[in-house]
Amino acid sequence: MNNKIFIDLAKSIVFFGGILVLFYFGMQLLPEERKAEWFYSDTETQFISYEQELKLGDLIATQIIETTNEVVLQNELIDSVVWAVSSHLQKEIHLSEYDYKITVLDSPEINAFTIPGGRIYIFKGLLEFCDSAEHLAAILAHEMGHIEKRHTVSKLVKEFGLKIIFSIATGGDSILFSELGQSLLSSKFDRSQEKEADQFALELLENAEISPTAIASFFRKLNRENLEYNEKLELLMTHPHNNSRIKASLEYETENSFKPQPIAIDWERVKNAL
Amino acid sequence: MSSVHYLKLPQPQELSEREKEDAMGAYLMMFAALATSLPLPIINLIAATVYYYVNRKKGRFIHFHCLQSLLSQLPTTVVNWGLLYWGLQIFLFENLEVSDWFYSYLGFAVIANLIYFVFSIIAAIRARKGVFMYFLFFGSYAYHRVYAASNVLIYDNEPNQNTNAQRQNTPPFQ
Repeated sequence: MNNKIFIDLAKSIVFFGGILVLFYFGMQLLPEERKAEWFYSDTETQFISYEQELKLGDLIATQIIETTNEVVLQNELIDSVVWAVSSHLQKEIHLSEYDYKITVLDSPEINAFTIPGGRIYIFKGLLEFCDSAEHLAAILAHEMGHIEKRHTVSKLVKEFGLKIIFSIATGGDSILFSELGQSLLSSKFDRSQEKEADQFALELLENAEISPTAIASFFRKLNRENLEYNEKLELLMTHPHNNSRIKASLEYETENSFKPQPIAIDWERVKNAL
Repeated sequence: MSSVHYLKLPQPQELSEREKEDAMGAYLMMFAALATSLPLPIINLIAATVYYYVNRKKGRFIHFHCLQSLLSQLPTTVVNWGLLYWGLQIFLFENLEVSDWFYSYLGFAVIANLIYFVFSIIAAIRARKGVFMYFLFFGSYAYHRVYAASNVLIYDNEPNQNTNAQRQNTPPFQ
């Protein structure tokens, strides 16, 4: 065969390989902020302002209790414990746009979910499942991560489109708000969002002087009791990567001066009150 | 240099209109097939393969263009399959994450497809005029396969030298 064919083949490989490498180096040269803006940002959230998000959260919150038949747990001790842990965390979120509202639902499910505007819902079953206040802090920190990174808004806009904005403006369409609530309760965040929320939680726990390994401890317990609680755990185990989350939590490097302080809450008393 | 002997190339005026149209069809047919196969980039390849086997014996000029069109689709098909697989792993199955390499590959795939499209259109226009156009590597390879004297394929528009009917008189020794 003529040598020209092989020379052409080599030229083709070099040319197209060069294009690929050029793109890669172009990506490397691009400033991280610009990259986040162009490629990695949740552009969906840009359509909804924080004010709109707060209003949306209020509208969904009024629907969520009615449509899901969930009952808010009336227990002062539990409320005060949840408030104490969440305010301890919230102090460490600087420049937050949200005033967190945490509601405990009287249901045996092992689950927690967020709705826009800084509202977090925790099921009683999840509190029973926790072994310590640190576990609760880990869960709240993770959920706060979803809120601060605006994952809930992003998810709703992706799923329902911009008709949400018109509904916020008019304040009507209770069916839509009910659907939004159901969606947040039942659907999952994508893997990159879970990872981002985990990273946020690790940093927040460290800032709040709570051991970031609380996340690993919680997920280890989830893995251990997976068979027993299989159906109930389905929602919390958003994907089969709990082991990687445990690893990330254990490998998270804290500052040298970091010394975790135990949260001064008698968790046995909390469990007895549930 | 190679010692392979190559046949003389036909000039535009020596080619029939039918040959020019069939050669052009090798590139244009692929566009229609490609549109139907999105996002599964396989039907274009099947269509090109069928077109190749149906038309390749009609003449060397047609054979050359069919072969060049078919071969040049292979890398873009592989690239598109790779992109589809990678994209599904990220966005549907969530086993992988978007990365700089993914975006680089996406850009590469877009450029590769654009180059392929533009060159195919130019090649189709030139084939219609009876002119050869050689893609990088595939053009040389297709020329070698079709116009090398060692090519034993029997073409409809060339005097048949190899059929049994014409081998009635054979030399006493080879």
